Amino acid sequence: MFSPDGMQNAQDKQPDQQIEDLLAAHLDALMAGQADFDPQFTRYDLTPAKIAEATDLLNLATRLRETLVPVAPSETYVNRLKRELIGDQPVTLLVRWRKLPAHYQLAAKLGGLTLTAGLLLLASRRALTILDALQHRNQPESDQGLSPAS
Amino acid sequence: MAAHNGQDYSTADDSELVELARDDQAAFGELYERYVKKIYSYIYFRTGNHHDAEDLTSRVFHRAFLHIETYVERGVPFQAWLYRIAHNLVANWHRDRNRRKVIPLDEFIAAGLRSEAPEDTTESQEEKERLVEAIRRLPEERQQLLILKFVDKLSNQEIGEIMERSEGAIKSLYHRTLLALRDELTAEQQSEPTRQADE
Repeated sequence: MFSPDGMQNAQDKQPDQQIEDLLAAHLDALMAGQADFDPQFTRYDLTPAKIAEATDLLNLATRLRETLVPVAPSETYVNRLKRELIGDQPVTLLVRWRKLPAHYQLAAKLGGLTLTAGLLLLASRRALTILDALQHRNQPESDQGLSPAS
Repeated sequence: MAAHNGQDYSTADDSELVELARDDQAAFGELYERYVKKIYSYIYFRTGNHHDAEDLTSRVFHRAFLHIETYVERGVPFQAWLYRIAHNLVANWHRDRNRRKVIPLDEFIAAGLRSEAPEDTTESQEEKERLVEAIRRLPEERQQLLILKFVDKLSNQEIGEIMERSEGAIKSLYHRTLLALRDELTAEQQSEPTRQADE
C-alpha cells in the first residue's frame, strides 16, 4: 500500500527492513548531534519483541557514538607530509623514487639488474683472464712452448 | 588552499580537483587536506598505533599522488579510491606481520578514555572497555563498518562505494553488526558470574 506521495509506508516493509530504516535514521540523528531522537515505534508494524530488539540496538549505537571518537594526526606530521608531497622541502632520493610512476620504477629495477649482471660478467671474465695470466707466469719456460735459442 | 597562480581551490569539488591535480600540485594539496585526517583515523583504528598509522597514511597519499594522472572516477569517487588504497595497504600490513585482522583498539581507547572529562565514572570507563573488547571479537568487515560509520562518519552511500556494496546492503550489514555486537556483550556478561565463581 502506498501513501499519496507514492512512497511505500514504513509498515509495509518487512520487520527487519523497518528496523534497518529506524537504525539509519537514529544514526543520522546521532551524527547531527540530536540528543532527543524519538523512534516513533507506532509508525512501524513491529511486535513487542522487535521493539525490544530495536531499543537495545538504538542504545548500543548511542554507546558506540560515545566510545568511538576520531584520532587526529599531529599537525607536524600533516604539514611534513604535505611538504613532502607537493612542497618545497628538499626532495630526497627516496621521495623521488616514490614519486616515480610504477612502470618507471619497474624499468629502473630491470635496468639495474641488467647492468649489475653485465658488470658481474665482465668482472668474472677479467678475473679469469688474470688468473690465467698468473698461471702462465708460474709455469716453467719449457712448458710455455718457447722455441730454443738457435 | 590557494594555488601558485592565486586560485582558491577550497570551493572546488573533488572531481574538479582531480582534473586540476594532473597539472597543478596545489590542487592535490587541497585533496590531501580534505582527507588526510579521515584516512589517518581509519588506519589508526586498523593498526592500533601512531607509528604505523603515519607510515601507511604517507604511503596512501604517495600512491595517490603517483597515480593521480591515471585515476578515472568511473563510479569510484576519489574518497572511495583513497579508502580502498588504505584498505589494501592495511591488509598487506596485516599479512606481512602475520597478525590477526582485528582492530587493536585498546591503545587508542585507553588514550581516549584518559582524555575524557574526569567526572566520568570508573564504571562508565569499564563499560567502554568492555564495548571495545567486544568490537575486537567481530569479523574484520564489521569492524571496518563501525570505523567508517562512527569514527569517519561516512554515509551509507559512501561506505557502499568503499566496500563495493549497495547502500541497502550496508544498512543490512549495520543491523547485523549491531546484533552481533549485542550478542557478544550479552555472552560476556553471562560468562562473568561463572568466572567469578571459579575464582
